[in-house]
Amino acid sequence: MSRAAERPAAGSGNTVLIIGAGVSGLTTAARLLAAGVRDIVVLERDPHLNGSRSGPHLPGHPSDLISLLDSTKWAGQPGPAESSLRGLIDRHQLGPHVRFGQHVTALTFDEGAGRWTAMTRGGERFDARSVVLATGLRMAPQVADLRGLDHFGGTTVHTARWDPEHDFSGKRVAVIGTGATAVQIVPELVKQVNRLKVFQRTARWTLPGPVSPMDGNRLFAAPPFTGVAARRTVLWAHEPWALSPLGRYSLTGLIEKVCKAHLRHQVSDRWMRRLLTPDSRPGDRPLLVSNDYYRALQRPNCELVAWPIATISEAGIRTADAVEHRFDTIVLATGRDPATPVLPFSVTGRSGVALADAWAGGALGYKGVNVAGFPNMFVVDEPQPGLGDSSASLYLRPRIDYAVRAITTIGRDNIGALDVTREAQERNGHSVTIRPPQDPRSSGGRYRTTPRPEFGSMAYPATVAQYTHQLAELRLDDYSIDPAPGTGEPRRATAAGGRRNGVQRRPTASGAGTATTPRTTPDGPSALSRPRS
Amino acid sequence: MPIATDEMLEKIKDRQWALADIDWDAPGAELITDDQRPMLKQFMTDVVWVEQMGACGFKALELKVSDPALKEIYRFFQAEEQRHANAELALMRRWGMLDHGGEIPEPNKNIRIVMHYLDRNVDKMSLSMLGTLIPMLEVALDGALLKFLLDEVADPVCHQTFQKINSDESRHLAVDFHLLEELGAPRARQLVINTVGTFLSPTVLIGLLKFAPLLSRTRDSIIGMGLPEEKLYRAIARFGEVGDKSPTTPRNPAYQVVKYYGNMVMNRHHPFHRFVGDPLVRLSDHYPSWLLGPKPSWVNTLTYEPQA
Repeated sequence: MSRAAERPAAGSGNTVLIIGAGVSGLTTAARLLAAGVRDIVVLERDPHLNGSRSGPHLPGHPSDLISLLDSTKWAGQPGPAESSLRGLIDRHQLGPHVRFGQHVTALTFDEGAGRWTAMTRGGERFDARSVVLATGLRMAPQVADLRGLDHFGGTTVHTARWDPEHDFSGKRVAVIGTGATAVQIVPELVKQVNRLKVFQRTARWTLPGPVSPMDGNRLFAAPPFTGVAARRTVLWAHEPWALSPLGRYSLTGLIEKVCKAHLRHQVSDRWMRRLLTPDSRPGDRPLLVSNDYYRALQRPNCELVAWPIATISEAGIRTADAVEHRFDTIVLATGRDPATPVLPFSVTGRSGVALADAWAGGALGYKGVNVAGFPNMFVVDEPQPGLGDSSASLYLRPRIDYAVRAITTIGRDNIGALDVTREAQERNGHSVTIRPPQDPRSSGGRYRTTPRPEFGSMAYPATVAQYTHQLAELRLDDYSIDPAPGTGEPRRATAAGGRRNGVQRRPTASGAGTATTPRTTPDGPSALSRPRS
Repeated sequence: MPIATDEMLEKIKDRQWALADIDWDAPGAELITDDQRPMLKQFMTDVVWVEQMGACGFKALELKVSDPALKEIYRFFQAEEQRHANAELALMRRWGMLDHGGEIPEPNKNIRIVMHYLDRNVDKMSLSMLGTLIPMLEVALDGALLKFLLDEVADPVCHQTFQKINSDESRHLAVDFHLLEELGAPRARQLVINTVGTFLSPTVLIGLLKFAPLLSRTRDSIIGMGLPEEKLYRAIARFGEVGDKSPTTPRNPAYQVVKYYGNMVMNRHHPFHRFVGDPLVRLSDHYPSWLLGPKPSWVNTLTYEPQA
């Protein structure tokens, strides 16, 4: 029996495979169902609804502005993420579509059949015309350029690979880095350890926050800030970060004043304040929110070390002021490398090209959703927020809408492979490369942010409004379209030059793409492939 | 002498050393004579504090320059000044000069005044002011004071320490003169505006009033300790010699002012001393202590212990 015969009728339906049953995956599923796409399978690695962000569970409260604002996103649906997800499943009757405990190990595009196949750890196979990656893309842990890190005789822990079981009590501990993770864990660590030293390279602006993110949640959830209003507020609170440094000058000036007042209030020592005052403007790097970081630094068993690290010796850290600080454990809170995404499983596209190889030079993509050479694949989770202080989840909605529109178009027009052209991707990638901020009013050199490398477009540097506008239309001209196998020409989308459902295709000289097709219901027979044993 | 700042940064990272690299208990401490002891104690104390002024200045420079490599270099230089202060403290401890088993002795009053001023105002000073003053002071410290110390003190550990310090200082000077050259590069109109802006600032004018007696007093006390006047003069002259070699440095008016000022202070016969320098030194003796406030807290970060 040939594989083609075994497979459910390839051309008949619009089968979609969604990998990851988190917020983005389930929302995509719900939107697809609403759009009339019935053949959906959501594969979730965990055996039950988890709802937590994949990744390490660090002690302490999240201390970046993003988390604080994000915690209010589900305002109107208070409670832990799990119940929000359960609510999502119940409300949209997603239950039959979600398969738990399906740990995908490989995802491959079969060019001949025009279908994606997912292999799971249990040896099962799922295949579908389109695939939505909703696993949450994580970036590789970044290890700062530290000389002699291999020679350290104690334990080294990276916050990106946090082990909650690790015992810090009574230990001499160093924290290298003062970013969001460091600000989050330092107030907790300092309670456990014998002695803590925090090695700072760059000071960061830190805002005072509510006592806990849950307070922020309650604040926003309380009337009159409910539901949509709360989400709007959060959205607009994020938007200024996508403006140019000049455009947000008055706002950042205000934030700087608040941060300075906060620092002054919490740190009485002039020298320490000088060390903790950043030399960049707020917004050049993500803002932090913490009430207890500065206090923790001033506890008797804690010390802030701002000298550069010369080398790591067997006993500890040697700073450039010639002192060797001895430690049992070094915690690397050096964050993640924004240019190196880590894929949870191998993804192989056309001509056997792996996504990891395609992204070796940076996570390039088209509008942050499609990647050339990987037809019918939609990435709904951004590798990282488009901007320092904006939230990936705000960009989620337009991304999901875009994916849904493309998937329905694939079904309606019977497209086998909707693949973005490399030229379109490069054009898009080029146009969204972030330029270094130029602010005539900042005294020269106050910016520490280096221009982002050309990994541009998977992280979209625009306001949510701009991004939504960009994603509002599906430009079929930017894609190469192959017909579904065995069906000849794909049926074309819309009337000449017209738009329907946000799909636009310019009339071409040959007249191709001008035929109007009556809308076909994408509900085929339940063509979704069943697990095979 | 333009330098490649990236290469310099790598070189600086390669040449780091620690207190633990030196055997502070090696024989030789007994070579310090009893005559030398009181003089040496005050000298070393002042030097420890002057290193801190360097650290303070480099921190301010770090904030003001825009080249990322240069920024990082200045971050290292700050720490290196602290390293020198730590090493000098370790020498003092070796020679039994620390009070109550470890406390750093008081510096002279002019140092306290300048330190107090720098703590509050260094960030407001202009790049061209800082970038010009720092090399002048380093040339004086490096070329005259420390060499004089090595001539006088026979302790091999002292020589070993200052060899390391001097090789650090040579890199500091290379970067300092690199910055000086950059500072002289803009168009003449811009230089004039910068200079007028620099010297018209009340911060700088008050600073100069506080700074002048320190230099005068230091000069006199060094000469009093037996350093030939000629040596000091030559060290300061070297600042001008090196600076004048560059095509752009002499264009910077701030450089010309500082060069002239340095030569003036070193020349005891200059009327400056009779009418300005000496009266200011006498006046500074009456500077009220309560105005100086408590010692800045970075003093507590100084340590002679190789391990913390």
